[in-house]
Amino acid sequence: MPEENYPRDFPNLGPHFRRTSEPAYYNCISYVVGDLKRRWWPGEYHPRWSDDYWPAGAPHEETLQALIVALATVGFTPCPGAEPEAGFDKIAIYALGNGLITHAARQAGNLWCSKLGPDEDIEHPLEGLEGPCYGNVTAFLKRPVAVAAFPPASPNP
Amino acid sequence: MALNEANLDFIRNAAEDRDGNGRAASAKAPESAQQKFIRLRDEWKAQRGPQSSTTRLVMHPAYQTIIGMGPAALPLILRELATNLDSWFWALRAITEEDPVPEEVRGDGEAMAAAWLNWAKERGIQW
Repeated sequence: MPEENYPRDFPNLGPHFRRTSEPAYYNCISYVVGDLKRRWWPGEYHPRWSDDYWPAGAPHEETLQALIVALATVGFTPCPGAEPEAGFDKIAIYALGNGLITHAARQAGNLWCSKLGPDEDIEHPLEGLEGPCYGNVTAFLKRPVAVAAFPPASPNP
Repeated sequence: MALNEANLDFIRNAAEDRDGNGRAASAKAPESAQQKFIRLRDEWKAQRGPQSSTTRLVMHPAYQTIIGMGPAALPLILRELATNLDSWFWALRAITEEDPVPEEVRGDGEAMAAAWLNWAKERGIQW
């Protein structure tokens, strides 16, 4: 994604980001669950039209409730806030005002890491991706670190 | 409806033209199929935005126009898929009305690309 598009899509980001990878096929949900082989997303139409993986039993809806069911299959449960918790990996969910989920970011110390759609990974403040594209942060989930480690951060290009 | 033999012939010929035999014919046209595909591909990649949903990514007008190119776009999409993995599976399904991707590899871009390239090889479609 050209960085010149960042102000359009992420007006709250400004210069407060660091690019950590080049574009790749996986998406933001793949990234936060640590499954870089498969793109995760619910199918909007009949499953035969979906190109993405979505756990069996999770509703094929772009809603927070469906995402919670899907991510429960890999050990995540809802939690109240963004504060780092020892022994837990934490992720944030972004959604539009109409409730449609748009994005997920994972915590990395005091910052957050994201895969931007089909484009690159960046490190950013949580509120940096809030805006017209992803909406606002609406929920947090966590899972014990022992369940599955996040992939190591990619080196700078 | 699956691809019939006439459509497959059209696709094979389009692939041959792109490889050189049809350069004179292409030069007469204001824009060859390959030039059109590259223009639309670049427009799609520049404008699609950081969407997480594949469905939303492929609804961009430039991507839909590539689908509208029909069988002529097939070798061009396959070549792109073989060299630069991206969300081309929707277009391939829409153009061919087939889907060789096994359910168990849904979401795995590399495996899905391999399934489509193998599908094309089995039908003698070059890219």
